[in-house]
Amino acid sequence: MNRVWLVPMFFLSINALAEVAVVVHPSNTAALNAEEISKIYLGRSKSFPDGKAAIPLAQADGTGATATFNEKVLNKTGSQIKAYWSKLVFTGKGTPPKELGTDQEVIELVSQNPSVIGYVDKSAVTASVKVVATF
Amino acid sequence: MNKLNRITSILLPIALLSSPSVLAVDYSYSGFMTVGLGRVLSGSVSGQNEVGIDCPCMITDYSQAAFYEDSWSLKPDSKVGLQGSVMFNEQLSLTGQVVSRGSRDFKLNLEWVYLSYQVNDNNTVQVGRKRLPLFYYSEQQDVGFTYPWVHLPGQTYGWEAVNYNGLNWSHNVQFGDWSGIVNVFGGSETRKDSDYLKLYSGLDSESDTKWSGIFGAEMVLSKDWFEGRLMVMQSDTQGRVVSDGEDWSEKAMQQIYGASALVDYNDYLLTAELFYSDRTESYGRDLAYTLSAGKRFDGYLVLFTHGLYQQKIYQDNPEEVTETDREKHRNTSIVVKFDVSASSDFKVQFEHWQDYSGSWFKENYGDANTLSMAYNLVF
Repeated sequence: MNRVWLVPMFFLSINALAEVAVVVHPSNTAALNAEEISKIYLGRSKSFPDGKAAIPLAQADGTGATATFNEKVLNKTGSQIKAYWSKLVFTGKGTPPKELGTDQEVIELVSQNPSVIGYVDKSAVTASVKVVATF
Repeated sequence: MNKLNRITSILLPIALLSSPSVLAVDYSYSGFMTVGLGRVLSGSVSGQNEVGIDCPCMITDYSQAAFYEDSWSLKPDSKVGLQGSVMFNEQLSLTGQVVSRGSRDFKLNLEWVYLSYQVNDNNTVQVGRKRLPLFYYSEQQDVGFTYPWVHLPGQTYGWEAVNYNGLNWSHNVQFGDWSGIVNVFGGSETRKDSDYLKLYSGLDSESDTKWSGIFGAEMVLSKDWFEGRLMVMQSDTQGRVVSDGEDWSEKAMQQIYGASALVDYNDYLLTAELFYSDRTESYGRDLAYTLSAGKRFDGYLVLFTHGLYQQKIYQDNPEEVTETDREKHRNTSIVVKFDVSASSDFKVQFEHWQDYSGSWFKENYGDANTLSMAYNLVF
């Protein structure tokens, strides 16, 4: 019986891990929806809705947070995102968001700079950052 | 590489003098690769044509004189490119890109080298050598990973000039939910020993082509699942067949107009590109379009494409081009693109080229059925 229950529990745990929180500095009062976050992460907007500069941080390919963020916020697969940024990089029209390796690195940088926006696994959120949306 | 040395010798001192802190430079590099394989399966022309190509044959990239013949070849579509950037500060950078392609026996060729100055968040000025943004995919034409085909549709992407030396200003725009870019560019391009003209004058011939006084603008606007693009440019054109001892021809003005639309909605993909050029001072006008429709499945994409290119030859035209030289052809293709990883893919493409040209093109290229495949990677 234990084995029967292990399978659904495994998928439940994956789903729980894959939920992402979009985080900003606690002093940042910008209200953001998925479309506005998407614009910032695709380089189509350089500022928050209140006009202040926005610097997006991403996480490396292959992390659960990145897969969920790409799918639920950007509505694209990892391959589509890579193709999108490759086009801009090799035509001199843009630079992709800086990629960090862990949730902790994202939280540290976001907590230090009011211009920075990042996404992390929801379970990694600390009091040093402010959650503006979850997906 | 002489061209690279000449341009960097101009741009690098400018960059260094403009940078208050030369020691604080930052570097980045990236690259792309395509390993392509293909052959013409059947066609209406057989034996070696006047140009020196073994037919049945099909042109895949006019600007690089890339073509498939009746035996398997890695040359037409394979290429590798490296791009390096030096960031002198947050506003100023120097970027160079060299490409080695099979169609040119893998010799290194400078495609881009430009100095970029970001005036503010919405304005950037670039000077140097860049791709000419004629069509939607023109600037990324070497990076196979960024488009769905093994090679770009030749009916639209088939011109003698693909680069220019000059200046461009790009401005980010926002209209409500729409975001985009306006890019104004100007400069000139002289293509010595033009590959494009070898497809007409012979692989052993040597011809030069020149586009001077290039001035144009493009606007790209996107919103959610839609992207649209308009482009207009004009320039003077000149040419000469060096191997026949010709001098430059008289300048002839051309005007080029392009419009593109892309829809990427719920895994359905639609693209349309229209092209029109006025070359009254040369021979007449050109019309081309490419339409495609496809669907993205889990890990792969299936795309159908149809394209047309046709010339209208005016009577008593200055270049004395006749109906015999008129070019008109259609190309219908199906491509299946598999995602290998987040940064690589594999594509298989079958295409059918139907020729309706005047007798010269029909007798030297004609109809063709071609199978090609490619592994693409960015790094």
